[in-house]
This record gives sequence, structure tokens and C-alpha cells, in this order.
Amino acid sequence: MSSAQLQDAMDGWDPAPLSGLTDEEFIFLSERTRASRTQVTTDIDDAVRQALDHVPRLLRRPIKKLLGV
Amino acid sequence: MSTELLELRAERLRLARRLGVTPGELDFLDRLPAQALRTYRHALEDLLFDENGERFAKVMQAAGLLPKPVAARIAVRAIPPTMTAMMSGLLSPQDAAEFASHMPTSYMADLAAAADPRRVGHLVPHLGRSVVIDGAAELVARKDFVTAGLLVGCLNRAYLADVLTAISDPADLFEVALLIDDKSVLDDIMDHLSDADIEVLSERAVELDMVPLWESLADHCRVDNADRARRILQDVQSRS
Repeated sequence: MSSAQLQDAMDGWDPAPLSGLTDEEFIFLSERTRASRTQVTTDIDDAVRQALDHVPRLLRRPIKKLLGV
Repeated sequence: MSTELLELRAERLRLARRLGVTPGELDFLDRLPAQALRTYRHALEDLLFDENGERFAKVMQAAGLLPKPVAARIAVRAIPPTMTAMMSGLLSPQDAAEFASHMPTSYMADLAAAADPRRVGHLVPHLGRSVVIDGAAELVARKDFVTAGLLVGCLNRAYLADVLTAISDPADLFEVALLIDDKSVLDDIMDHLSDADIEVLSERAVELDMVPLWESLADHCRVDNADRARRILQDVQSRS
């Protein structure tokens, strides 16, 4: 069942409320869910990198240490 | 158009924003109830927040080392509003108000469009008056009635009248009113409107073939407001 793919993409969330969708539709939502999760992680990394460029030099080191970068 | 269909469209739009697709790509969800989409979207929002919560907290901690105007300026330059929207739920109401006061209206409108009201709705009444009013006006100018409806639903009464005044076109107000989640504010809106305003709203409802929706909004109001809305609607219908 493709609903299991969405359940997997959602770390175990039960997709029962979406019952009635076709396999193809479940697969689409699974792929977009995974893409969103990856995107958020990538966006945070990019945002932190860019933000550090704008941080006053004096505070850059402690902030980098805090963020672990 | 029914209330259910309207809510379904709003949910589809919110989900499309979260999934990074166009609303059209989610047309197939139209055969499900709006509540099913909302349940999935909430689960997804929670998942995205939970798995990044630690990193969000560190970013907010780092921002705390900077003067707030500087941190706000950096956020606007470097952090996408979708990201800021997720992190802002970690702020105290006072900090949220100060950060917001240093951010441009367009950024705040983008942030609002991406925000989960369950996490940030409680912050809205603490934001500065101009931040809220300008933000609402910007959302309406963009015709983003879905987000404007959510915003109006989070407002306290002190701001509501100002926001309603800022939405100068009653036709736009009609679109916003249809999408307000918390229908208990509808009486405050009705109290603010003149009969002439309600006449324009009624004309808009007739024009858009949304009379049943207009009537369903009236059903959520006090008897005096509901009667006033229905009387004016009947006058408009008898003329058209």
C-alpha cells in the first residue's frame, strides 16, 4: 500500500485521514513530504551561513561556537 | 460554493505552501474533507518543527547575543520568512514585538503567510499596532485573503477596528470574513460596519454567487447583527 510510504515519510504518522487517495497520489505526497523535510534542513544551513556573514566581527566567534559551525 | 469547499480551498493553499507546490498540483485533494487536509498539514508542521527544534533554539539563542535591531536586520537579509515563521514561535511576546518592529512590512507579510497560527497566533496581539495594520493591508493588497483571515482571527478587539478600517474595500473584507477561522470575531466586525458597508458586502456576495456563504456568516452573529445582515441582503437581492 502506498499510504505506507507516506507513513514512512512522516515518521510513523497514520495517514488514515487521507484514505481514499490513489497509490499515485500517496506517492506524490510522500515525495513532497520528504522534499519539504530536506528543504527545511538545507534552508537552515544556508540561512545560518548567510547570517554569519552579517554578524559583527566581534560576535562572530561566540555565535559560531554556539551554533556549532 | 459551500463553506466546506471554501475551507477546502484555503487548506489546499496552506498545504501547497508548506509542500512547495502550486495549489493546482493538489487538486486531487478536493475530494477529501478540509479537516483531513488540516490534520495532515498540522502533523507535517509538527514534524518539521520537532526535527529542527534544537537548531531553531540555537539560532534564537545566537540572535539573543545581538541587539534586536541588528538581529532583525540580519534575519531579513539572510533568513527566508518561511524559516523565521517556524522559529518565531520560540520568542516571548515582548521579543516578538521588538523584532517585528524592525522588519519591513513585506517580510512580515511573507512570514505571516508561512506561519502556523497554533504556534504564533498568541504573539499577534502583542505586536505593535502599525505592524499589524500595515501587515493586514499588505496581505489584502496581495489578495492573500487566506492569511488575512487567519490574522484577523488572532487579533484582539483593540486592533480589530483599525485593521478593518485599513481594509478599505468592503469587497475585500467579504473575502477575508469568509476565511476567518475564529467566527466569534464576526460580531466585532459587524459592530464596526455601517449599513452602507454591509450593503457593499451583500452586493459582493450576490455578484460572486456566494449568498449562502454570506447567510452562513450571519448565522454566526448575534441576533441583532444577523437580522441587520439579512435585511440588507434582502434589499440588495430585491433590487438585482
